[in-house]
Order: sequence, then structure tokens, then C-alpha cells
Amino acid sequence: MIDRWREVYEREYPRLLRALVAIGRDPAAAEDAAQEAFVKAHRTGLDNIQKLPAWLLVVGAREVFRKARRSKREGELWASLPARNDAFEAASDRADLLAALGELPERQRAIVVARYYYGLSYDEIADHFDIKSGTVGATLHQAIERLRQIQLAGRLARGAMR
Amino acid sequence: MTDERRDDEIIGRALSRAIETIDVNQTPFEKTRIATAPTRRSIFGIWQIATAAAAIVLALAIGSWLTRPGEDKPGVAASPTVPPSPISTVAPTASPTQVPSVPTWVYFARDGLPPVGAFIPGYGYAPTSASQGLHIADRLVGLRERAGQIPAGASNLMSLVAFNPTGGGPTPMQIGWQGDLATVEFDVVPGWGVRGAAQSQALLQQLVYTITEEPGIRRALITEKGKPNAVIDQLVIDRPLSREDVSGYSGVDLATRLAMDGGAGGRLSYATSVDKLSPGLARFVVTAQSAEVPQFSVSAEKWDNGTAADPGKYLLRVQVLGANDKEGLETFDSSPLRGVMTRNNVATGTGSGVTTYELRLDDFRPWRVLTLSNPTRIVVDIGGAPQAISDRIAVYSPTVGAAVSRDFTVSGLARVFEATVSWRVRDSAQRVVASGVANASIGTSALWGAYEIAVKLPQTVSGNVTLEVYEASAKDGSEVGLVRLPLAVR
Repeated sequence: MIDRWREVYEREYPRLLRALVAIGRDPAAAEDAAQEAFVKAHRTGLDNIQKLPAWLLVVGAREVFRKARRSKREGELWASLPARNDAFEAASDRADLLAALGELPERQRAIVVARYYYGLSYDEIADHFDIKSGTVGATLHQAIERLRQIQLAGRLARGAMR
Repeated sequence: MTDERRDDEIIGRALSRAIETIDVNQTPFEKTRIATAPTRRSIFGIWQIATAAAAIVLALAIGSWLTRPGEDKPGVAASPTVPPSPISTVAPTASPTQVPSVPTWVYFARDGLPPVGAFIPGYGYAPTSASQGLHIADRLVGLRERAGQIPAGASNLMSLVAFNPTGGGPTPMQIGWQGDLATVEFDVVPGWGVRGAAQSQALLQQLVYTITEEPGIRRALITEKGKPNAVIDQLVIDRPLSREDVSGYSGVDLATRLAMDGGAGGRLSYATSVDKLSPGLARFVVTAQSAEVPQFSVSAEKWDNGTAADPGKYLLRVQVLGANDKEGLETFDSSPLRGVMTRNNVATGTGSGVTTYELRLDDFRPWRVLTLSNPTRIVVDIGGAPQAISDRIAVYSPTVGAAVSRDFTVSGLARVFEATVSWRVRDSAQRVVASGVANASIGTSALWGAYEIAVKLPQTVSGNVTLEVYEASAKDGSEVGLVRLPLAVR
């Protein structure tokens, strides 16, 4: 049984942790939330959970938001995310995108990550996040549009500084 | 798909890639709460009733953890025939011992490795002391008090243990022994102060190794006051444990023996190293005068000299046709290799006869032999990180959990068919991001060969990866001897 959990953990944990860092912008809180999600899954039992990845993401995201409300210390943590070795442009684009994601309302962040990072379908998102399936598309589009604007603003600002 | 949807999709994918590049540290599974949460069960699954009915039970009353026992004194009462209950709780008075003392050797914990031994200064019992219980107490008290003085890379979980400050008076432990078994009852505040499977296991290793350091003692039964067992966090200890039960090595067969043909080696000399090539690894090298590898054999056995002057619980016997210039026992302050006893069946310095080297070892670890030329050498490697070795693959570098760049070299020993070592690297999503084969210096043999792999990872790979090294079976292509090392790409 432990082996099965180990396998699940090793497969799902890194992805979940990244998603939660992206959603919550606080690596420490994300780690706590990811661990919490696994403990809850463990308590619930593998056989009682359908679509474990989505389940973990939803539970983890909820934890992240709960923690974020308790301690408002976002901003400065985002800056601490390690820079990458890649070309400056690509890295800053990524950082822009991630920062832009953080500007979205909590719920939209989670849904965007569920759709594009986890690859969940509209129906799955509707199921897991408890929203009407008809509104998933609209919410996503709204969120992405906002991302695009924020990212564009960031790129322009950087261009202006050169 | 509408243009709008397609644009959204592009941004979405870019975002997904951005998220994938976030560096995260994966908490090892062993350190998670789910690894430690499940039903309480014996660590070894098998229930064995620990018959701790010692014919002789010695109750040791140690005035306090800060009052060190001196030597055998009337304060320690031996009482025959009375089973486990406390017999005597007389606090030993501090004795001004001017006699030279036997230095105290204890064990400290290392992450993912067997514990490592070291002397702690300022402790020791008198050479005249015959009480095994007192010796064990001396080591445990020393371990408890010298929390600050630990070997590099090690830690002392004993410093976390919460001993009961009030209950049952100032008696934190009682020690009994019979034959090769020592029973130690600790009076601890429930919980022991350690958390999680890794810490619990590490503390258990420290205790078992330190208790069984006493000559003649091979097994330790650890209990808590008033209970038949001990529960360290989630770890239930309900039977006597030997070092081999807790060392972390599996599948080691004491009966394994290696014998190689060859000529005479002429004059021989040896050298040793510990933890130098890889953590947990002891290397013993015999250099021969001859151009050809001399005839030699390697075998192992349980061993206990019964004295602290010639320590060790196992020995690895290396016999080489040739003569070592020096004879006698050389001891080291290193773990697991504590000493080498050299004997020659003919006169020394003549270059003839057979030399027997007996390697004194703390515990029994898997061993590997390879030979090298210019100069001619027989290399015996003992142990390594348990996670990094299998019956046919040993990875010496990088070490378990190490940070590596995208270009790194893997080195180690292998004993595989046609010397072909297979490897691959998986990213955190378990995708294979690089793979290949490498050649070991020797294949299909009782001897091991050295290999080196130059790994080059794509620029997109970062964060936690897993290096897997294995043999692709010649029979059916199945993977055998797989070794998996978590690494972090920086």
C-alpha cells in the first residue's frame, strides 16, 4: 500500500506543487497545501477518489487560498522565485506570465491552471470546481484576456526601460 | 477553433510551460506525513515475542544524565534471578578516576546512510570494568550529553529525545543483558521527541549501533518504561534488533565468497579510505609488486574479539598470494572500517607466502572487488549509500539527492553482461529526458568494472530528476539491478 502511495506521490507531487506555487504565489504555503492535499487523499483512500490529479489540485488550491487569507504576505515572495538560465527574454516572459497569473482573482487562477497546466476538460473543471459548465469557457477566456493585457503591459514597460 | 480560442490556447500553453519551469523541491516521500501515517505496525512485519527474561538483570541508576558513571562500584547492584523489574536504584557517586579509560565510541545518524561512529572525548570506563551494562550506559550517556560534538555530515537524534524528568526518579534507563542480547529500558516522555519515519529510523539506528558496540553484544531490545515495547513516533520496536536489521542494506549474503586465480604477488602493501569516494563506502586496496594480479580470495564472517581494543562485529577476510611487509593490527577512528589485522603465514619481508588481511567492520555491507593494473591492485569496496547500490550496479557519484548541472558525470562500478550499463534520466513528471548506454571496464565476471557516463540534459530540464542506472537483461531485455537516485538539476 505504501508503495502505491509512493508511486502516486512521486508522479503527482511535483506537478501539484508547481501548480500551487503558480496559484498561490507562496512556495512555502504551496508546499504545506500540497502536503495537506496528500494527507487528505490518504485519509480518503485512493479507491474513493476519481481522477486523483484533479482532486488533489482542487483540494490543494482550496488550502492555498485558505492560507493566503490567513497570512497576507504575497508580493515579496514572488520575487524570490529562482530565475532560470535561459535567455533573458524567455525567462522574463515566463516571469511576466506567472506574475500576471497572480493578478487574477483566486478562482480564475485555479481554473486557468486546471485547464492549461493540468489539461482538464471544461466538464471536468465544472465538476471539480463546482461551477456551471457553460460558464467555464467564458471564465477562461476572461482570465486569459486579462493575462494577455497584463503581460503586454509588462513587456512594454520593460521595452521602455531599455 | 476560432481565432480567439486559438490565441487563448497559445497563451495558455505558454503559461503551462512557465509553470513547469518553477523550481520546486520535492520532499522525499519518506519525510511526508503519508509515509508515516499508516497503521501502526512492526517495522519488520514479523511478530516475534521478545523474551527479555534476562538471567541477570542489572539495574543501572544513573544519578542524572549529567552525572557520568565512573567505573564499577557498589552503586551498581547486580542481582541474579529477578526479572525485569527495577532492582536497585542507587545513584553512583562520582568517582575520581585517574585510571586510563577505554574511550567511548558512539554512533551518529546520517541521512539515507547507516550511522557513523566516532569517539567522544572525555568519556570512558576503566579498563578494569567488567560490567557490560555500565559500558553500554557510558556510551548512551555520552551520546546524550555530547550532542554538540558530531562528525561532519552527521546528526545526533539523541539530543531530541525527551527523557522523563520526573517519573520514576532520576533513572532514565535500565540495562540488562544475557548472551549477545542487551535490553535497555528507557524512561522517556511518550513521543521520544523525534518526528517522521526518517528521524525515527535514524534514532533507532543510533541506539542499536551504540548499544551493540559493546563487545559480545549483537542485539538490542529497546523498551519504554512500563511497556513491553518501544514506540518511536510511528515506529514500533517489539523485538531485539541487530545492526543488520537497521543498517538499510538488504540482500547481503554473508556466505558470498570470491576466489580468483593468479600468480604470486611478491611484496604487498595496503591502503584504506572511508567516505572518500562516496558516502558510506570503505575502500581497501592491496598493491602488489607483480605485474599480474596475484591469486586472491575474499570472504566474510561474523566476528567479535570481545575487547574494545580490537573492535568490530564482522570481518572481511582478504587473502593474497604474497607477503605484506608489516604485520599486526592497525586500527582506525573510522566507520565502518575500524581496523585491519595483517598476518603472514611465512616470514615477513620475504615476498612469499600468503597474507591474510582481516578487515574489522562495524556491520555487514555489500562488497565489490575490482582489479587495476600499473601498479597491480586489488580493490575491495565495502558499502556505499544503500539507495545507490544493487547486486550489479553501484553509483558512487553523484550522491543521492545531489545538485547537478545539466552536464554531469556519473561514475561507479558495475558487474553486468558484456559490460553494458544502461541509464536514463526522468524529469519530475517521470518522462525520460535523456538515456543511453555506457561500457564498464569489465563485463560478465565475478569482478566489478568501473564505468563513467557523461550525461547531458536538454535545456528545458530542471528541478527534481531521477537518475536510473540498470542492466538490460540479455535474456529478455528486462531491467535488472536498477538503482534510482533522486537529483536536483540547478
